[in-house]
Amino acid sequence: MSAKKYRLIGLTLCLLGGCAESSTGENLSDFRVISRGQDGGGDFCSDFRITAAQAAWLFERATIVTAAQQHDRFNYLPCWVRGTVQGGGGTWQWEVRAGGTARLVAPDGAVRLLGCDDCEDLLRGNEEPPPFK
Amino acid sequence: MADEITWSGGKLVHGKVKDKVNSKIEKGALPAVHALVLHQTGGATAESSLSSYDSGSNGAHFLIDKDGTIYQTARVDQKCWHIGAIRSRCQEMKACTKDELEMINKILFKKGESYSVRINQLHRYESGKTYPNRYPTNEDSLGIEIVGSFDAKGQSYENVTNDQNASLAWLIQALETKLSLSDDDVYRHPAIGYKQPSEASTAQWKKP
Repeated sequence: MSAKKYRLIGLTLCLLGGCAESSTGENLSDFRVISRGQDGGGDFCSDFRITAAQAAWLFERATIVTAAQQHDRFNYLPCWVRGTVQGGGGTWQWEVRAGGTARLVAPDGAVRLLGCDDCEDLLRGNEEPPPFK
Repeated sequence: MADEITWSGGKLVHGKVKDKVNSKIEKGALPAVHALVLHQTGGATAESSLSSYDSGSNGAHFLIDKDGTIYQTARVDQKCWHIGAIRSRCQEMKACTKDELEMINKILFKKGESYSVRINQLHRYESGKTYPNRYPTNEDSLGIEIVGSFDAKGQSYENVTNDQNASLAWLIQALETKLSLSDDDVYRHPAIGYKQPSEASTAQWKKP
C-alpha cells in the first residue's frame, strides 16, 4: 500500500476520532471545542468556527514556530476557537486564531506556538464549518 | 561636538549608534519617510535578530538592545519589510466616507474568502491612499526594533527596559528632526497592523 493511502486512512481515522499526529511530536487525541470568541475589532471574523475534527486536521498540518516567526509570517487576528485535547501528561489546551496562528499548552504549562500555511480552507467565515476536500 | 548628529549615505553617525547595516534587508529606494513604526523582536538577544537579517527577509532600520545600545541595521533611504498588512485607518478612526466604508466592509465581510485573503485585500486597498489618510506601510516608513522576548505562557512581550526607552526617545528625536516628523507619526506595530497587541506596548518616547 502506498504511503499516500496510509496517509488517507490515517486522515480518515483522525476525522472520525478527532486525533492528530501533531507536528509537536505529541500524539494528540480527543480534540474538543470548548469556546469561541473575538477580541476587539473582530466583527469581520466573528463567524470563525471549526469543529473538533477540523482542529485535529489543523494541528496535524501546523508547524511549531518561534515567536518571531509567528509574528513575521502570520496575521494575529482577533477571532479564536479554543478547546482541549488529550496528549502526553493529560489534558492540553489549544487555541486556533482566524489568521492561522495556534498555540498548545501542555499540562505542565509549557506553551508551543504554531502556524499553519496550508489551512486556508478552514480559516474563512462559515455558518457551518466547511467540508474537507 | 561630541553630541552632534551627522548623516552620511543614509546612516546616522553618532557615538550612540553602531553601524550594523545589512544590505540583505534593504529592499529598494525609500524616497519619502512619513512615519516611524516600533516593534519588538520576540527574541531575547540582539544577536539573534542581527543574524536573522542574513536570510534577507524581514528587518527594520534600527535595533535597540536591552542595554540601550542602538544598532543601525538598514539605511534610512532604503525600504525594509517590517510592517506587513495594514489596518484601515479611517475605519478605526470612524472617519471613512460612505464609499470607503462600503468598500472596506465589502472586503472584510466577503463570505467564502479566507480571512488572510481579506486582510491582504484590505492592505492593497488602503495602500492606494496617501498618508496620513492611511497608516504607514513599508513604502514610506522606518522601523525600529526593540529587543524583547515574547512570553508564550503569559501571551505578552517583555517590558521595554529603561535603557531601551531612553535610547528610543533619543533616536526618535533624531529621526523626527531629520525627517520633519512629529510624535503623531510614531506608531506601535499592533496599532497599524494585525499583530499581538502587547508588542512594544511598554515603549515610551514622549517627553512628559
